[in-house]
Amino acid sequence: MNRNGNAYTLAYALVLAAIVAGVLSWVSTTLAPRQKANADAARDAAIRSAACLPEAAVERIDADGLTVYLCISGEDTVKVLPCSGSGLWGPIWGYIALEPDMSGVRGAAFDHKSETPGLGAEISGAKFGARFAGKPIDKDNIFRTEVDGISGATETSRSLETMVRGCIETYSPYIDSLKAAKGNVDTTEQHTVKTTTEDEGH
Amino acid sequence: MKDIKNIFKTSLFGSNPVTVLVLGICSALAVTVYLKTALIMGIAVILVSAFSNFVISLLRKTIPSRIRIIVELLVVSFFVILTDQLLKAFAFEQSRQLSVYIGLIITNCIIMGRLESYALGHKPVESFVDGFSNGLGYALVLVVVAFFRELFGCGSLLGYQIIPQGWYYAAGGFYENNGLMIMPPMALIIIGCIVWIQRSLDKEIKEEE
Repeated sequence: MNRNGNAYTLAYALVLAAIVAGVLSWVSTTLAPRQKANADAARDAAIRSAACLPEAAVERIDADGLTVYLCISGEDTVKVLPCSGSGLWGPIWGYIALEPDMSGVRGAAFDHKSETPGLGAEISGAKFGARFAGKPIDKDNIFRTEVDGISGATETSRSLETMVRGCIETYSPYIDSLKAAKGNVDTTEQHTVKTTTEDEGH
Repeated sequence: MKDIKNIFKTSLFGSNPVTVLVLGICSALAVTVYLKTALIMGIAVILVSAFSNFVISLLRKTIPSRIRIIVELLVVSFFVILTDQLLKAFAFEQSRQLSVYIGLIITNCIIMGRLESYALGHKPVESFVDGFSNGLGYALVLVVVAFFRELFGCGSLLGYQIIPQGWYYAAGGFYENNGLMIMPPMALIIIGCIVWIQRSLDKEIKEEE
């Protein structure tokens, strides 16, 4: 067999590539459910840490085409907004938990695909997310607060800023609807009270 | 047996891939902030290096010479992707911290170097040992560098706090973590120190003046 012939070379490459591709596809399909479970668990953990409710159940709802996560722990339900953007090397994303009265950010958690370890990658730490806790959102649903970035990771910090501001802006209609709903609930309660009083009067 | 002992001795010390041949520096800078990531990265490189050396040595008599490097790359990528998939399934947190660097093992010069200079000319078992021990030589340097970086940069080892909390300024003490340790240049400085110490101890690898 001529080991340098075109036919041999081509056949060799094809067979080897087919074997490698076959085995890798099989491994990938077999491990996919486990990997997805890991990724989902990591996402839920990030949502919980953003909402500062370590034991909460996480539920996903759809609000006019926008995804919102509900973090439910007993009486408390915290609304968590997912956001995504691009960092220095790849995608960055995060979860922003809102205060019950929509006046500010309750907490936040961020993560990244490939930011520089020790620099941009620090956004995924709990310490960094905690910098957002208690920061106000203005009445017109704009996040004007400035949060300390990470020294040495200027680009990641900037993209993260753009991402957070953009996220609050995107969800502005949703936040408005929540505020309105809250207003309605209050009115209804007052109304019911009024009716009861009237009934008593009769 | 003596051969195997020699292989280990040369690849761990005499011709350590990182400190003597100065290969694989890029990832050595990137993944040595924490000891745990350095350990996982070291294990990944050991496995990829050992198995790709083994497979290439098995195939060495059949590989068409014109596509030799491509075949080597294919085998290395196979093991790297396999490692990446396994880490994602069984060590998710570490796989997230290592992020792109597992994928970049494909371009790690140590692995291609061992395939070219050893596996193509030796029997499978010896090649496996050679790949394993060169990976170990790489892992050894990574662990030493990560030890100093995590200890002085974060005050911890493997995530456990080593420097007492009471020593820190914040708690009224005198100590502060060295932020420079976290930065990539510090890895280079530590590797430089290791190279310096090793060369002054081992006269054989000292370059002629």
